[in-house]
Amino acid sequence: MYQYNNFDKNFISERVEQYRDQTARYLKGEISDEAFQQLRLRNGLYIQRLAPMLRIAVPYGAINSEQLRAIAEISRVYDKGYGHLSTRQNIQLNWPELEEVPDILADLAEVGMHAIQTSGSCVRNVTTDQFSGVSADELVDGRPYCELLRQWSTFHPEFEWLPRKFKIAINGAKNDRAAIAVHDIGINAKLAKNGKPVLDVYVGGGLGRTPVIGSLIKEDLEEEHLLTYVEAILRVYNRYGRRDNKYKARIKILVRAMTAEAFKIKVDEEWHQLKDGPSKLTTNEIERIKSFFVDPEYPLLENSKKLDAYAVTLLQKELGEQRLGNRVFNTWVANNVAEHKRPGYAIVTLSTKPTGVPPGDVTDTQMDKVAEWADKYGFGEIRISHDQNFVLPDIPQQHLYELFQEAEEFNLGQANIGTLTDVICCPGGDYCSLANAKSIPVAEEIQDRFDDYDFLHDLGPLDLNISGCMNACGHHHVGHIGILGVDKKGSEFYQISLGGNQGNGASLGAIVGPSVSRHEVADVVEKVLDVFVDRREGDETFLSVYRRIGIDPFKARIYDDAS
Amino acid sequence: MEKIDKDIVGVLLEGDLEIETVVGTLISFPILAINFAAFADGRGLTQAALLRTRYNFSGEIRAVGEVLPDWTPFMYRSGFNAFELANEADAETAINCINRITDHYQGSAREPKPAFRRHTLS
Repeated sequence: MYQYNNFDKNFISERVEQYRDQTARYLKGEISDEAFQQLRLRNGLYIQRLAPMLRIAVPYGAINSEQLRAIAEISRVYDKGYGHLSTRQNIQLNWPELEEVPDILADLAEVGMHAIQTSGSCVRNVTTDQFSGVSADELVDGRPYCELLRQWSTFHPEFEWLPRKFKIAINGAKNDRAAIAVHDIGINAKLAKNGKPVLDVYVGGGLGRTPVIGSLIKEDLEEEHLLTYVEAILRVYNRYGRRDNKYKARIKILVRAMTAEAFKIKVDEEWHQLKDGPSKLTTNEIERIKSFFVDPEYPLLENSKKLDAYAVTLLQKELGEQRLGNRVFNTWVANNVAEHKRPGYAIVTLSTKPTGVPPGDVTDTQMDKVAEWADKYGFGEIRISHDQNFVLPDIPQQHLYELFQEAEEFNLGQANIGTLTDVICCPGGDYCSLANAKSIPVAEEIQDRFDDYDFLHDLGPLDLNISGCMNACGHHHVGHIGILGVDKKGSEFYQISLGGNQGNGASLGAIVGPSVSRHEVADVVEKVLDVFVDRREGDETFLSVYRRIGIDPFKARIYDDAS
Repeated sequence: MEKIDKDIVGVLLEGDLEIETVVGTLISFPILAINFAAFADGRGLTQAALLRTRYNFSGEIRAVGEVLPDWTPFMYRSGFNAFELANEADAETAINCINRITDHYQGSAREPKPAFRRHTLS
């Protein structure tokens, strides 16, 4: 993980004092509501339906045990003892007091954390693959690029007042877990023929009111040009992005209006002026940042290759026996444990989605426990996935069973990762003033209805995403099954879409028909699953069946049955 | 654009001006005033940055319109060196705002070298 040096520490410390001064002047009436709103957003503070909400930055989802414990403590001291993991890998506190936020930021600064630019029309948290650095399918580690962009974008004077928010995501694995196709800038890191890492740059993807897949505008960009190229894109956006209508202000609208071709030409024109300037990265700086993202000291299986193979076999045998002895553990290993690049290790995802809990919500106790397990079993590192779950990236296989049992005890052991009940869900009408409808009760009802593990596991990968309104914070457009809350004559109704996909081969879901009332949603989902199971060949995934048979069979089952 | 003084001291630019189209004329003036129609409209920042870094304008770039003290740091680092504040009393606050953060990561019009080119870091 990146370690703060004196410059970094000093910067966030000064930033805290800046915000403290702004808050004080605001409370004295020296700054207007409108002006202060802009300043507080850039320090993560929203005013929501019920209370202020503070979004803490977790850069590219990476957090260590000390930091997570600090957030648990902050949630106890300043909030109601719980936090929320967001779909952009950040952590949110739901009930802080406006006057106390400078103190919260000061406490965060003690552990090298902040809430800089987690809101407002500026460059937000750069997100990435939650399995970066440890996944068996990784080609290039995207985290150094995330850190370079984080530093570059922090308090960038020219781009702090963009037409709208700006979201960047980076992927470096075979399977895109960062959903780069639906970001303002999506970067795919891969290896060139000569073995050097190069970057493909996509722009103009996004969800919300007008969902769209990003366009490739630069292939094989060399690492040293990461900052200058992104700067060129931001400059074009800052100059020409619409400012007359906030619903038409994202870069995706500009790219579409100009066409991707014309946009690319404009960016290249600007880039040619910048590329050999001082913002071109030096080899020293690239190496310096990369040096923070190296393998930990893996003590296991260090010696001879022969010992490796034998030790691995023993571990597999032991794990196999444990799986046979405990069906839930078996499912947990199948669903929640991903392949680590190093034999004998595993990547564990801890589900924040047991039935009856708003997806992504975690208590202070759970945060402390996750920190404890990271220290006890791993190397003190934790990740937050954009599916709103915790990831422990380096768990020795021989500790999986023990970890699973502890996780179960603290309600973090749900074996549902990647399945129907691993729901991505926005806070919805219970919390958010923008929502048309409640999303959390819908998620709960579905989780209740479909809680049989074997059934869920057999269904295979199924992304169910729920948004309370068109802002799509629950990413419903890229759910295999998407649910969108709509307001129909003052009542809460839900529109169902099918066939979205967020990773490789990203696609946007198609609406299946007229919206349905809340009590019908779980029935509709059940009918969709019935069709899937009926028409499935072998162990085809839902997405594969949908793409093969189309939307009509689903439509027929849902609406013809109802009439 | 409009002339802001009958003795033609400088020009007033709006945020939507394509400065490239008239830059040859612009840089002959001693003062360029850039209007911020709304404080959240960041286009003036890019215009100033381009004037300084691409066209080597060394005259006065003045921020006018919605110029609030907490916004002056961004303007200052983007190349503005004069600020017309709504309230004269805000001048000291604005100076404090500008001075509050003492060093920055990225290159800018005022300091084109990013921190990584200025700091000796191991």
